[in-house]
Amino acid sequence: MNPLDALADFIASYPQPALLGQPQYDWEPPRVAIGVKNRVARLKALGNAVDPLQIFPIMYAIKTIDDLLNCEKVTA
Amino acid sequence: MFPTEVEQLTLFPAGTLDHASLLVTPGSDEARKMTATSGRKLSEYLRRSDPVGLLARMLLDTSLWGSTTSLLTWKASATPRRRLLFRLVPSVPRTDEIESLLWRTPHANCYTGAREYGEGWMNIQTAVKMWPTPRSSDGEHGGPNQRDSRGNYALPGAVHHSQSELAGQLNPEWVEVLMNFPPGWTEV
Repeated sequence: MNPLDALADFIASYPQPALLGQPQYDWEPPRVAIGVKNRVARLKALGNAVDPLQIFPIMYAIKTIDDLLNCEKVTA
Repeated sequence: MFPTEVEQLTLFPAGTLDHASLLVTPGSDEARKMTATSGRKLSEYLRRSDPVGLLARMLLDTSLWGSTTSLLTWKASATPRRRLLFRLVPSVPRTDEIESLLWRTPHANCYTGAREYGEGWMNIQTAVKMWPTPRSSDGEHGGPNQRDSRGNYALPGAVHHSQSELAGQLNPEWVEVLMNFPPGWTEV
């Protein structure tokens, strides 16, 4: 089995905010706010960001291979 | 990759890897398996057994990749320096070319709320409720009437117009949630 396949449930069940036009879930921060510190800079960072769930499988694969190779080195 | 491997790609019959099955719906288990199958076929042409080769194989033959709006198929091409380039290419099912480019046809279960995916499709009530992707200019130029090049509201406008009683500006803490970052990730 491909180790990445085990991530499917984790990614699919990751909590997502309520969709457009729907009332927010209790756990969500409010969609708008007043006086948030560094608001513009934070939004700029988020707008340039990659969704961690998108890159997570690739990083997980790199770690899995690294662990595998290290394990082989130890047993050799 | 080596030049010989690039040449072997031409051995694939035309269309073998290019066309997704017409009967598979995006987001379904079948669609994911089909994506993995297309990647597995390509991974057979990887000769490298070093860490990069292992990584490429693992990424190609997993059934993790999927989309609720498109079918995904791995495609290979060669760079000008004759290196292999693998791409996960989306395609819209062609059961009916015109219909597939429009909103999904409303059906009997449309009384249900969004996120009811039915047979793997994002249904019409979900498709119209997707938030726009956050942009780096959402803070500085994020007025409520800001629109993208297609005329759709940017995220601040979509939030502002979604609930008339909202007062304030787009909250980065909520955008963190939308982008799947831990709460407070951008707080300094």
